[in-house]
Amino acid sequence: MTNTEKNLIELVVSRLQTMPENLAISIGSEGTFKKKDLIKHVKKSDSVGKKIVKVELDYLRSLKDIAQSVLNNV
Amino acid sequence: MYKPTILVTIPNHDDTTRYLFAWSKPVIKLAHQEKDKITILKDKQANLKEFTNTVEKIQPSFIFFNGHGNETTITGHNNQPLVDADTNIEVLKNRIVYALSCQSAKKLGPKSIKQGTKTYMGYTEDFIFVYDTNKKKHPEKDQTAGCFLSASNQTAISLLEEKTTGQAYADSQNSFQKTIRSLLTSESKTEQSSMMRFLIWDMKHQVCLGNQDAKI
Repeated sequence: MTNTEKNLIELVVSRLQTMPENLAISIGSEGTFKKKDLIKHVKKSDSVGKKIVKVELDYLRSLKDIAQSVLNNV
Repeated sequence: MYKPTILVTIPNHDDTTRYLFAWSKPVIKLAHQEKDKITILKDKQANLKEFTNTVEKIQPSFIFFNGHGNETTITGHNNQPLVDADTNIEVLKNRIVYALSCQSAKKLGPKSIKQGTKTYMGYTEDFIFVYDTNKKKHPEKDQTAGCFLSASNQTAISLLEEKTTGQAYADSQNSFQKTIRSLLTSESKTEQSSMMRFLIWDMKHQVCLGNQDAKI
C-alpha cells in the first residue's frame, strides 16, 4: 500500500468517526453496516472498504460543483 | 380512458428490502388513487415463476423493481433472480422499467435497450442509503432513509403523473439536489453531513437510458 493510499484511508476513517452511532448504511447486497463495521472494512481495504473510499473521493471531488449549484439556486 | 398497467416487485427479506418495501407504499397508493391497473408481487411472490407468469398475463407498460441487483441481474425474494441479462431479458421488451436496485443500469439496462426496452431507469453503481437504527422497526417513519428513497421514488411518482421518462428522471434528480441543498444550507448536524456523500453518490449514478419521451 502506498503512502497516499494509507493517508486516504486515515482521512476516510477520521470522517467516519464523526458519524452518529444510531446511523447505519445499506450498501445493496453487500449488507448493512454501522460505523464501527465501516471503519473495520476501510482499514482492511476490502471490497466494502474500497467502496466507501470511492464514495468519499467522489464526494470531495463534487464539492465545488455542489457549492456552485447551491449559489446558483439561493 | 387509457390507464397504464403496472407491475411492482417488492421483496421483503432483509433490512434493505424492508426499507424499500415500506417506502414503495406512497407510489402504490398513488397508483390506486389514479385507478391504474397495478399488480404487486410482494414478499415470496417476488419470484421468477410468478414474475414471468404475471408479465405474460398483464403485459405491463411499466415495471417498477424494488430489490437487490448487480450489473446483469435484478433479484426478488431471497435474492432469486427475476431478470438476467443472459437468460430472460426479452421480458422487458416494449416496457418502461425503473429498477431501484444496485448496478443494474451498468450492463442489464443498456443490453435491454438494444433488445427493445423503451426506457430503462436505474443505477450504474450500488444504491446506498443511510438509515436510523432506532427506527428500524418502523422504516416508514425513518426520515433519514426517506431522504434517499423519496428522491429515488420520485421517478415512479412522476411517471404515474403521466410525465415522460425524461421528465421523471429530471424530477428525481431535482429531488436529490433539493435535499442536498437543504442539508448544505441548514445548520448541518453531523447526521445530515454523514448523509450528503451518499445522496450525491446515488444522484450521480442514477441514469435514464433509451427513449426520453416515453410515457407509461
